[in-house]
Amino acid sequence: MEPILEVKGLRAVVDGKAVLKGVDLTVPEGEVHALLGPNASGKSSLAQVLLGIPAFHVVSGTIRFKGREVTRSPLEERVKMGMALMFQNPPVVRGVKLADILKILSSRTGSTWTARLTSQLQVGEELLHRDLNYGFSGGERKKAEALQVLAMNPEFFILDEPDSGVDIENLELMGRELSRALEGKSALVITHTSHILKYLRAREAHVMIEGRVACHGDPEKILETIQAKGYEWCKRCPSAMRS
Amino acid sequence: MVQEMSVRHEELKEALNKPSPYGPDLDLSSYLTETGGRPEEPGQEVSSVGLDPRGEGRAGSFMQVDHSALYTQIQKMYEDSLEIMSFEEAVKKHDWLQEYVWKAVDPAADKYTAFTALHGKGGYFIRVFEGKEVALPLQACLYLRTGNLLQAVHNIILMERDSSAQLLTGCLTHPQVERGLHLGISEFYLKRGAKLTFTMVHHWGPKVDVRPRTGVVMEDESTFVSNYIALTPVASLQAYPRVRMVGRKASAALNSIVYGKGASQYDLGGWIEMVGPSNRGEILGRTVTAEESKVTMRARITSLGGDNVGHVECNGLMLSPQSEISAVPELLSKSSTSTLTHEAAVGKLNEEQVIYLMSRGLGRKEAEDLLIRGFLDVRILKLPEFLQQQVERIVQLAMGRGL
Repeated sequence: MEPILEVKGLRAVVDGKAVLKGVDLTVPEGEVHALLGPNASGKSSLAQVLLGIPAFHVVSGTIRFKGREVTRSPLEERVKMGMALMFQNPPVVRGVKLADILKILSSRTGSTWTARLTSQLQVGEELLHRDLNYGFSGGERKKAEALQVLAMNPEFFILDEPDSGVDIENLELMGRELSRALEGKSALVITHTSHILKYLRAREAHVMIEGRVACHGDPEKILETIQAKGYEWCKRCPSAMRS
Repeated sequence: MVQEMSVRHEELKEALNKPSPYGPDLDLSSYLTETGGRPEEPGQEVSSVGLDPRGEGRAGSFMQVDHSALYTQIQKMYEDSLEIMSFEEAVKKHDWLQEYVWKAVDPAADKYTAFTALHGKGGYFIRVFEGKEVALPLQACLYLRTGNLLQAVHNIILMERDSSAQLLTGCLTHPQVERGLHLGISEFYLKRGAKLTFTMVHHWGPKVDVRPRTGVVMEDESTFVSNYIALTPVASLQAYPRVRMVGRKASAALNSIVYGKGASQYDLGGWIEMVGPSNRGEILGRTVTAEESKVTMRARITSLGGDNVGHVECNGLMLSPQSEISAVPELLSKSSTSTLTHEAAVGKLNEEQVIYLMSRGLGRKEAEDLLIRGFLDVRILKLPEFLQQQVERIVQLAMGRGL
């Protein structure tokens, strides 16, 4: 398969601090890949750099999306091309309701589509009409994020920690819906706990250590190793040193 | 004039030179005070302030153009619930009205009150009878049609015991009127247990000056909600309505939503004075300034009785570096058992929020508009459903596009 995303030697800074220190990563079209790594290893930074969040500045390296270089392209262009990010920590937006955003999205992707997603993710009227992310529980925030991203119907999903702060019932619900939505699509699923990978079948896993992708491989094997030896071991892993 | 004449004539003449402590001072002699006869009835343009030109779906309507009260009407089903007429008619009809005229607003407060006391023409009188609930909204329109005119009206609302009503007042100028001055004295009296939701939408011209003067007197267990909405340019507008809660267990809310454009100057205030105990008062202001507009938000809550609760919230959003916002919250308590609080924040659009919305596929302008509309969210006004839809439509029109 042709890669939908190809990242080479990517270095980036935010507020003058280096957060990506030479990332290489490829996601072929139609595949779901997992991005694992300890806290503060640069996973969320990579997600935001991929989408083109302006606070992050690319120092060197390239990002190719759907065969086109987008390293310097503005965020809106990447979104138009079919990239969408489920934020780990979305901001509170007072005065704007989840329903307001869905109304805009449904004018582009169809109201039946968003209505079905809203129902499947069990997002109630009350949540739809509250200020976005204001006073949302962890689970509500994730559901709201998932709903918006799914309503965008993108070609490439970046899911940043969809499983953090979510209780078991909601994790199952969201895992099921994300899995259904991702059929035939491409995604990079960032997870610290890896719980979501029970529901999303990742073809390959990448481990990020200190701003670089330290190793790639079979998700099950990598997870087994991490669970047995922890991320500390990854830092000392010979293959990580090589990459 | 009929109305004012038992009051202090000499003092008023002297007060004609007394400027207001706030807002730009205006030369009253630079405006016309007479018009050339009965003006035409306004048409569809009144819908820009949420009014229905035919009074459909309204319990009652009052329409004044320039100095002329063109018509009043009451739907048949509400004829035994309320009265609507011009101020002059009401003074002639009800001798007892003198007990209410110029009792909530001091006619010698400044040149604008004094001018209206001496030379005012028109304004509405609305009385809702004891125990009557008027479910459909009432509407009142004050329309400035003649250029350079000084319109000075006196409005009185009397909500008798346990009555309730909602009034939508729209004030506007004809599109061809360039300059003008509107003075509006409003005195509202809420008897025990009465409820009034008063929503005022202003749509003046960019060279029109406006000086409303409002006094509200609230008795026990009454409820007053005032919503003020101004989203189009004006030369200057200065208002400082004062609500006196003389009884106990009453509740007052003064809400305002203002979008300053062009070179508009707003000095908007509100004073809730809790004289009696166990009252609740809230002043909430949301202001956006664009271009070279300047807005001052004043909000004062005073508690003289015990167990009162008051809160002031002033939020300002600046869209232009040439604009200016000043928030002046003021709390005064003479009771150790009262709780008065305030919050004020002024700033620009939050870039993180803009980017977040853009990540959902919105363009920058679209994201910014959505945030501005969210900031000016009319849902904070807690309007009845019907009025909320009207006001949302007005906001969308003013913003130039819908969602």
